[in-house]
Amino acid sequence: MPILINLDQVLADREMKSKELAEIIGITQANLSILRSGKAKAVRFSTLEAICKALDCQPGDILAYAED
Amino acid sequence: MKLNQLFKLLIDITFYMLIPVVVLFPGTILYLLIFPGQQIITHLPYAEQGVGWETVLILLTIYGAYLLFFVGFYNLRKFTALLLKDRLFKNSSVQCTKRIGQFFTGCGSFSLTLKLIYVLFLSTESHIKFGVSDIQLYLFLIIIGVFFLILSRAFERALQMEEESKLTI
Repeated sequence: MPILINLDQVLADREMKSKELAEIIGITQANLSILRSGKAKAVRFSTLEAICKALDCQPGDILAYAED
Repeated sequence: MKLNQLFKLLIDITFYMLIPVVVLFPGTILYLLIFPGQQIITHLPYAEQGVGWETVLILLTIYGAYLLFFVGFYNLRKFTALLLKDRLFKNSSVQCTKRIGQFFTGCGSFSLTLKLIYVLFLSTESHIKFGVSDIQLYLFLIIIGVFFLILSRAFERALQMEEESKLTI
């Protein structure tokens, strides 16, 4: 899929663990893992908003587009 | 009794009524071959002067059509079991409905073709039948088959949507 998820990088920059982020934004670790691995088919605006708020970043920091 | 359970019960009763025919039909054909002068089967073309290869061929085609119906019905029984377990949006359910559709449509088309050949080329008498005729029943079987094929596609789409929903974070 040409949409890349840079969540691992942003988490590393903030020195935050994925478990912590999952608790803050209120989703399960399994779902966060699906998002981090790029297996997710869609991301809700509410989830994206919660991630941006928790990590103090912009959607563009997490999502990127790359041609196949 | 819930509607699902009633449906399963009716399917089960009918299924067990179909089994003896599947089991006994080949034996009957064998019996006809051994005793060609018998009188147990009537209303078959070419059977007036005793059982010949034409009669056996007709019986074998009827048995083939019946087997198609039986396999379709067997899958319908499996589908009702999935229905009772509330496992509709699973791959097995999609496969089941697809097979039901294929076998019922196949059986209906095959039987309708045989009937039309019989009516147009073999039958010597013409009559009008009031009530549901064989041709209408075969057409109905084809309709049911096509309906199950459509249902299979709907289940397949629902399965995809469920997967997409699960992978929406």
